[in-house]
Amino acid sequence: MSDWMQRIIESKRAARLEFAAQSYGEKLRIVERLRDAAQMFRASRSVKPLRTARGAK
Amino acid sequence: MKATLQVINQMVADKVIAEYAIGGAIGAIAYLEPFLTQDVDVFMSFSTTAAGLIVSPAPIDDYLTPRGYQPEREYIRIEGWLVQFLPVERPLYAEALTQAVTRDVDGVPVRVFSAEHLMAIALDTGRLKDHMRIVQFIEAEVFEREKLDAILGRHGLVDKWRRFEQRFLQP
Repeated sequence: MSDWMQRIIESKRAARLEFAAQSYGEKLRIVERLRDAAQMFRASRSVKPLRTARGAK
Repeated sequence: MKATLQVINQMVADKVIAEYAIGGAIGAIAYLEPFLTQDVDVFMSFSTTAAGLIVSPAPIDDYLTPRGYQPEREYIRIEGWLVQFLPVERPLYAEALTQAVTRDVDGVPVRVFSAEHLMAIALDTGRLKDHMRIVQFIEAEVFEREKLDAILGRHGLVDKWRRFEQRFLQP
């Protein structure tokens, strides 16, 4: 593996460890935001586009 | 989440459940970087009465429903979170419960399985996502190898660990 690639991997690993080292409360708030975003995304995907009145009688 | 944990702590104070510890993804996040999950796994033992050990989930429903927390499939939604109450039955889980550690969530004490027990349970469960979680624990270096080895030995998981190592940790 090149030094360049090794540095990228090490940098990403350090960032993940820094993220993991946050307080449990802060990490759970992040999980809540992830969950809410996922729910909003699912909700937006499950809504069928409104039909226009063109075909309505 | 803080409000959810306060309700669970109150269930212990009110003797609905004897003791509990958070496992699963929310438990793992105590040690790892946060990731998406939808539910909270609460491993718990029931209180004992003069009549003996309570093994029915009815006391949980009887306690939570009047407080406005409604069942949804196998969960109960508590302060916005889907919570699953899982009675500990197997020795590995019982040990994880008794050896759980206390973490702080914004001033609320919460019992969480140790990193080593979470790893052993993930190994025992054995789905791909469980194996991936073990890899995360190893990468994060948030566990004690001796403690993990002792748990694996006590619960007959040494061979499973060797297979996991061959599959996921060999270059």
